[in-house]
Amino acid sequence: MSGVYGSFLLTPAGDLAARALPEIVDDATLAEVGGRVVRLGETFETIGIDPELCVLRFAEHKLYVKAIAGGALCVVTGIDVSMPALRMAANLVARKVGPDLARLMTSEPPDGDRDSGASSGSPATRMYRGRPIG
Amino acid sequence: MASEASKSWALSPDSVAEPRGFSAAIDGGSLWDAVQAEHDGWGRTVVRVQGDDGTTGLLFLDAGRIVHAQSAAAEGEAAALELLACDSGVLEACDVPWPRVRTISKAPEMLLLLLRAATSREGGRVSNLVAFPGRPMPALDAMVDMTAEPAHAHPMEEPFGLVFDDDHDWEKEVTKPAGPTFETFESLPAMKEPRGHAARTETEEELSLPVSAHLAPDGTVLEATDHDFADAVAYIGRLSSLVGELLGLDEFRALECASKEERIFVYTDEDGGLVAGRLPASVEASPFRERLGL
Repeated sequence: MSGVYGSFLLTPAGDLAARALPEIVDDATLAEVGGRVVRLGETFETIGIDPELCVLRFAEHKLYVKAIAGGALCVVTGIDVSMPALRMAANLVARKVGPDLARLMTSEPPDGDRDSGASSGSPATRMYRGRPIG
Repeated sequence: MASEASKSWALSPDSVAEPRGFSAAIDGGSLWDAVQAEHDGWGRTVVRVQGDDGTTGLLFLDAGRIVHAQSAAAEGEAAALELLACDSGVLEACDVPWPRVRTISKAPEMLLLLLRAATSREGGRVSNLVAFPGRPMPALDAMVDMTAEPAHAHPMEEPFGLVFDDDHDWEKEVTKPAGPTFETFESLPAMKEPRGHAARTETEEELSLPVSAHLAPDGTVLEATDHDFADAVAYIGRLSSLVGELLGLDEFRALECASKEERIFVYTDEDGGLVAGRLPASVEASPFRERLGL
């Protein structure tokens, strides 16, 4: 879809469940993002909002976060993306992957081996304008 | 401001006979206290201010809020600040034509806060408050036509702070857009781009979002309907910036969070502070999204 740079799936705990983003953003970074996204949702809950959808606008990008069964779908887009089309696509994806994600969550052992998942465990790489820094 | 008991506001003798004139003398309070004491909080009133320091001007009040002000040297917010800074003088209700444009949408408390800040910066000298330092005079495109007679507020409007902005007739006669409104969108095509674009100068006045919290860049709460909400907004802004930094998406501008019942908009104002407002889910939000680039 035009204007979409990639997407990733988060578990309710903020762990990375799946990704479709360029490798320049590593798994550890996405896991760190996941933690923040979850905390963002929790913060909204403290003020009486049960978030279903959150769109963050940055200078040249948007981050579209949709709560789905078993986690959250995050989509990184440009600013000119068609939001109605994105909403529709996100709904379709949520319908498709939501049940699988929910199943994954319920079947995962409580102390599951996180290293075998998407998170690599390497230190997070901070990015600036698409380039790693620091 | 008139913190000393010796400073006082008196009613003009001429105003007593007028149907909308004031009926009691105010002593030892600020001009705003005096106006509040005499204005019933509903409908429209125009108050002529004649300060003992020579400051003269008009305050236009609607539903308890200052919506326009004129002084000899300025109009809009700058004039309101100039008039509110007067320590003593005479107030009188008067009949003058209602202005065509609304130039002020800040809450009176916000104006007083700005005045205090200016007074503190100027060491108590506020007589030269023509244009607020660092803030432009209200731009023409921040003005909303106000020639229409006041409309009755919908019962749902007041809880969401929409009483002023939902005046349907004003919306009909928008000369230049003040930002998104809740019912009519005729002004949308002319709206400016959000923060970061060269021409961006919009503030919360222009956006017309019912502001629930306004935070300074250092986190100071400038305005809040609920301090817990303001704290949450500060944290939301920080988390959003962090998410952006991690993903290499620099400069957080705005966000919308939607639930079944309501939406929250948070955006970075031109000074780098955060402004947040809540809207019920039933209110059309497209204008806000477009305005904030969401």
